[in-house]
Amino acid sequence: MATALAGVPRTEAKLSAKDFKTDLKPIWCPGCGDFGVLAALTKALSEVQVAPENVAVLTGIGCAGRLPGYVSGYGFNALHGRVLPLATGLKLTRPDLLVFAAGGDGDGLAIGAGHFPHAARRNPDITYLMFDNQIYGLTKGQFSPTTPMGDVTTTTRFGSIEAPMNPATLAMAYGASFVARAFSGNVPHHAAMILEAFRHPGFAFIQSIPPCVTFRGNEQFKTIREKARWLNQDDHDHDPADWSAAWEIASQADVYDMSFGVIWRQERPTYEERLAFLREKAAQRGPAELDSVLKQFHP
Amino acid sequence: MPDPSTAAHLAAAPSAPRKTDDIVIGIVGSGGDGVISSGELLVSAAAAEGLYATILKSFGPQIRGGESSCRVRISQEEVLSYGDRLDVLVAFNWADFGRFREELALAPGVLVIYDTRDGTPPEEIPVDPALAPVVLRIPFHDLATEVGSALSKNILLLGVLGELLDLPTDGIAGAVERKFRRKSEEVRAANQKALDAGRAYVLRELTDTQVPVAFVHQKGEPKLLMTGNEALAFGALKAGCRLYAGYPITPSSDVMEWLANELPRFGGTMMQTEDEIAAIGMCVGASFGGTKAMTSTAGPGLSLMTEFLGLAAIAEIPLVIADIQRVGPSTGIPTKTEQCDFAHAAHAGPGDTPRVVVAPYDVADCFRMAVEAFNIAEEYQTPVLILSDQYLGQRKESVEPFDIHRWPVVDRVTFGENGSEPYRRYRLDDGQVSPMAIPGQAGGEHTISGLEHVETGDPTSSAAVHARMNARRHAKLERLARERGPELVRTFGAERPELGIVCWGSTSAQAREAARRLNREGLAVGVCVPQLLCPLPVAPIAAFLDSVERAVWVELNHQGQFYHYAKGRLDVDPARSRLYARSGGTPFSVEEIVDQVLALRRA
Repeated sequence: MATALAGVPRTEAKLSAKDFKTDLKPIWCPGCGDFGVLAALTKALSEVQVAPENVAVLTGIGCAGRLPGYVSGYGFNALHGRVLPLATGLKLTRPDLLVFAAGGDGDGLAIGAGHFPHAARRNPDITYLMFDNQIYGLTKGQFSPTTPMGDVTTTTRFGSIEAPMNPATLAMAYGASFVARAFSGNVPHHAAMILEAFRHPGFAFIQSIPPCVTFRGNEQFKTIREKARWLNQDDHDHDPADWSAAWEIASQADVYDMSFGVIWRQERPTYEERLAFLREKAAQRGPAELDSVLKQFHP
Repeated sequence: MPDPSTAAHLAAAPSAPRKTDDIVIGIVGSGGDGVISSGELLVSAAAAEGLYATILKSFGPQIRGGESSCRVRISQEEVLSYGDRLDVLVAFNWADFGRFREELALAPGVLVIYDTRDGTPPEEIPVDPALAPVVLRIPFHDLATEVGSALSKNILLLGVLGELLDLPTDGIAGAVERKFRRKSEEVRAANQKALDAGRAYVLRELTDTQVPVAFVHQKGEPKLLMTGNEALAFGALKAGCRLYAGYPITPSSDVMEWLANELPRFGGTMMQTEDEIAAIGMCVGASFGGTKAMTSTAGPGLSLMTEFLGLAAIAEIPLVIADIQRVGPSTGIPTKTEQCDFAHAAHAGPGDTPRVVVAPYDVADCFRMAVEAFNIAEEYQTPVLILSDQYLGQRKESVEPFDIHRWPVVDRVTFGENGSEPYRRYRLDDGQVSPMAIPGQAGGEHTISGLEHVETGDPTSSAAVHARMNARRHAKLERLARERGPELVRTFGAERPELGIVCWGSTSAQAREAARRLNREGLAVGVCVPQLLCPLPVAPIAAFLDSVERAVWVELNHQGQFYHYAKGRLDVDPARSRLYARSGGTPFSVEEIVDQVLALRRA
């Protein structure tokens, strides 16, 4: 059976969230929902017992893209939409690292949408967190692939006429073996979701809702907190192994009518495990020696 | 005397065959005729015999299925090009020949052999009578059916050619045996029968037939046989590449297929990705983690990789990208060769993107340049592009056995320890390349990005810092050209050349042969072949240009891309230089280049 973070060295050291924070001051707007994700991430990292040097935080471009600079460890704020290939390439060659990938809804569902299904089906042991605030914040307020129909933004002055995408159902349909939903206004719960994702062997997807106070107003935090339902708390029982129940929860698209928690979990071999199996088979071709490879070129 | 209507027809027979140790044979047929397989077996036989050989395959536009042709050149002397004109043409049918006519120029007195099954009368075959062809009709299909299966007619053909042309018949039998050694006893016996039937036919029916050409040779030490793409992939493996990611594209997919077989047992990974963007992205991710990584593609794929090329350049991530060029723009002609991506390779990327471009000049050099590309990428922490092409990548060629351990492998300088100082990824005070801290190294934690940065890697929008960092990134390249340029510009041909040819990549093969031919005729011609194209090693190329009276620049693209690039960096005297650039689709012929050199004299 697959083990999460197989090959990642664990530390006995007592770590706190502070150990994973850098001195760099985030450039996010005051009150931004991303602060909650950052707090949740550093808390989860401190609890998974992996030293900062074995942590890699990779991101695309957008407000979320600045995350690596604020987290201790190795970071790479790469290209818009391309964090998943980067993370997969790193994890497959360095299974001893905890690889955390993140990006916004535009990053993952617009420009980078082509990579999401493939990362999910390959099932490398990485966590992918999507900052889903339903808006392009860094470029100042254009509509995104998850913007609700009818919303007025800087590029939809008459209301968006495009049907939004749903990251959670897409993740399930793509074959992600772990899907959770988190709200940045509830840091302890959010941190728990990230920790669950770390402990899941395989591709773990988190749809995180970090309200954009600049383009969505201050009210969102309050309203989501009031309306949120918490899975497996408050008598809201859910079995993440139940596809139909999971699909129903994943289908919730209105941030004011959402359940948060682990939606879907499935144990299946990780890419790394299959790769190890493939390498064993390939070893039957001959020893890992260049001279033996050269033989095939003799006429 | 054989009956000319069924067995053989002799148009014009010279009294005695011309003896040659350098022969070019073309074979044409439909899918299923086994044309390519015949050609490969001939090359394999030649290499085992210690001869030099090369095969150029050509397919119709459909990549898979349909008509195909190959040309095989076998020679006692080092084979530099595919040979301009066929000494022997084998056509299983004339309809297929029609499709390749443009590519298959025939030599005067060519021996033409075709299957009796194609009903075309000898006087109506599409071969210029002015060439005085010697025409033989042989019932390949019927003979093969007689001994077992029409499918073995390509093997039967080898029996015929071996006997008829004095090719090494034992070598051919050995090549057939090796190719089918894992097949059933039945298949192997059937092949032997077909070979024997071919030889027997010649001895029975054609003893009185004078063929125009006979091959003479001396046996030598066996050569290696590989394609440029295999050599390139093998070089990558040797250099320590442990992640290859790519997306299938003609004519580069063989690189991926070869590494898919070989990388896993070395603990490496081959990823077939969802697109070329993901391919280069995985390489950047792997290299960030300290693993040497490569992708390969063709022009259209390189377009998709451009944004990551810029990222690797600013973040200073070692990376190798091979572009096996094909005819462009856009989809172009996927199965045909052209040196048309130089401008793209040299300039792709947003902003002042530094990059290195190297070009191997023959099959063996594909191995060496792959090792070199990784070494440069590691030492200078930069993306390196390798410009190969369809002609170089997909032709199988004899290669002098070489010691794979001869070339040293360079690894990036990694961060040791800093003491109390915080780690600085991009130091401005240490001569352009800073030790790389690799994830997992305690004390080296840092964040990099595509943003302009200060020394630690943290983002900045300072114009002054940007200018210094740009200068730092480009200074690396200047140092590369200075330190490695002289050894990465090769010269061939006459020691004191009067006339020169400047070319790069696969065109060097025909250029070198043109020089060899002209030198034998008493004209001192030299060839200058830069393997390092970007940054341009100005001094050694300038020295070559100074050493000749006149030079012609030859490249296989419409614009003369490399010439114009070089002209912007070198003093090229227009009175003493010519540009010969033409669109690809077919590689240059040696004759074409000879003509260009001769034109220099008239100029």
